[in-house]
Amino acid sequence: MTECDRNVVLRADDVCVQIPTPAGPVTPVDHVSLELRQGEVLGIVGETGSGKTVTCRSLLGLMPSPRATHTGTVTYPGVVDDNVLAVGRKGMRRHWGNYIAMIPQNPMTSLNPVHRIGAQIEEAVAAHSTMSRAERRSRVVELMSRVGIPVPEKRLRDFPHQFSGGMLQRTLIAIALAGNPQVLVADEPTTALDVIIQDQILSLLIDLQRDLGMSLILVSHDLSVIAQICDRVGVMYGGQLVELASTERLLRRPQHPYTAALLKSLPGAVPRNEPLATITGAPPRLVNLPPGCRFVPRCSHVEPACAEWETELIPVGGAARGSLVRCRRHAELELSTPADGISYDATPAETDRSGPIVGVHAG
Amino acid sequence: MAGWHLIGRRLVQLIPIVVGITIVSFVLIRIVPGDPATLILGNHYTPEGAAQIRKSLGLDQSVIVQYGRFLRSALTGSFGHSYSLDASVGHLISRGLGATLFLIAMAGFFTALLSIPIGVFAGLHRGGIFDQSTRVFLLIGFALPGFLLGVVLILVFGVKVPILPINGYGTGFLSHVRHLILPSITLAIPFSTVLVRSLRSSVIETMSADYVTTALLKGIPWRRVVLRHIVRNAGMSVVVVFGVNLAFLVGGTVVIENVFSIPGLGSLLVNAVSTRDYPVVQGLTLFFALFVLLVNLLTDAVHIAIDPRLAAG
Repeated sequence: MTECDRNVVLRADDVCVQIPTPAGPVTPVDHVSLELRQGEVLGIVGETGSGKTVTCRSLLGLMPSPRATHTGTVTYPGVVDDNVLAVGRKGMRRHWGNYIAMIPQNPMTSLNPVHRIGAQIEEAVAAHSTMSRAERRSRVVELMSRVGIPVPEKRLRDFPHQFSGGMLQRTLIAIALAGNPQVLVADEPTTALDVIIQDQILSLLIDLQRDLGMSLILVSHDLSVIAQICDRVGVMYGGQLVELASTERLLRRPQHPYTAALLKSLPGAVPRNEPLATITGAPPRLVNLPPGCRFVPRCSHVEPACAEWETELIPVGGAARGSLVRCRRHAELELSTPADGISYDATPAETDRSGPIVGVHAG
Repeated sequence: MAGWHLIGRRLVQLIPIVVGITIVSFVLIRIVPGDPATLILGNHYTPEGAAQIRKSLGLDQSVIVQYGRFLRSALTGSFGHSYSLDASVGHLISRGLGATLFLIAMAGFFTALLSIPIGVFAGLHRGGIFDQSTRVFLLIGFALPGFLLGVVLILVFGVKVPILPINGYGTGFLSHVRHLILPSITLAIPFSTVLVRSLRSSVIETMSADYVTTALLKGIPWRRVVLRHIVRNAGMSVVVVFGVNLAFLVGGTVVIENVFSIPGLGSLLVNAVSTRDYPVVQGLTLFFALFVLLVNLLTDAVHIAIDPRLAAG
């Protein structure tokens, strides 16, 4: 273990996931590499279908289908040094909930409709402990009040259909926290919720992450959410990570044309009376992809050589800075950013949470 | 709870259905060619004798009057008096009911015993060797007519390797069980194919449910995920399939009881039809129909009991 490894809690190295289909193999995760550090919030943004969810799940060792194949490695340094992708259900069981936990995208379908809320949280509590029944009960109540479910003693007897979407997501957060995990993967945790609840759930997540010192991967297609709370951001396009940088750097000096185009398309980027900038074309279908850069058909800086280029993540600004970009022209391009379009706040959690900073979905 | 009001409403809805069934069963047997009086007299037939018998059975009265008598007898539970057997229909039913219910219960038991493990295992290991070979057996089991299967079983276990009784019902509980093994397996095999299929697809569907992922990622044992989250939930939809098909099983007993000479309601019905024993046919048809309705009602009740979303309305 090198010095720099010491505080890395999760490392993905060149991960690919492929699903065979009658139309040809689909590649939702294509050579994704990333590192998550102790206590860090890493954001992942990308359009629908850019491979965010499958990437997240592969970080926990879950495959999208029994027929899916994978290459590359995911490790939890010092905890699971074998490839998480190959360990299997049985070997991963003691780490799930205990070291790494997930908060799902759709709270409405993520709890079993036939079991009571309390029983479902208790199942997670019991998974990694030898507590007595009474102790487990009080831990359930404690978890429920920690995530902001009012009158937990009463509500633990409810069934999921008696809970609102926000309350269900709080329940799922309680389940994720039950085993005191060090890494939390939140896969678009607020997408299915309405705007006011979204802010509440995000604040709760950030509070918990700080209090418990967890590392958090936060997936979103909402750049404003990412800008508020993440330390570093990865941008995904067509199953690939196209740029990874600190939030500040990504917002001020994007290196990849897709990131720049994404930032320009945010509503704050242009004066109110002008139409919003858009990215022409549509994101690629992930079946039988041609070689070369994925963004070629939509890129405004494209050169013929881009279509041949075997893409790779190029370190920028020195390896220690940890920025990566997948563009062969990144050094020569002077990508413009919207002047003061995006307000990036260095201390996001302390800011007024009355409303999102930039209120539109990227892409 | 709202779900139980639903059961109450179902009960009320049953009334017109039952009235409809009495009319159908009354009319159908009278449409069938053949006159009970002629059949009773047989070789001793004379027109005067036949008229005499018709008069004594009340068959000379108008159809409306006859229907009214049938309704009145049905309400008292006697369903009238058999033409050919010296007993009331209610009495005949109560005599044959035991064997038939025993047969249905054992067939249901064998069906569950066969289809739950097979369906769950095939679903959990979709596309595996077990799942593939199950599919072939399902096809055979489904396509095989019940009486043929019964005859094959009789040949194998009754004649070639005579280890099981092949006809009758026996006396005493254990003897009943022994006598009903072959007939109930004959009923259970085609029934299981239906259930295995729906259980398998239900398990496959449930496995990809988000809540199963949630359960898995808690880090609980896989066995617990399967039992509490996959089988428990997949079972809910299969209970309905089981109930609906259990009703069809009642029809199957009619054939199987004859193949295995079991003195149940099925044998009674076949004999009554061939002798044009109107009261017995009417009474049994009504009784079978009520039984099917009752099973459906029970299925709904079970469904409400195991699915908290229904109980709440």
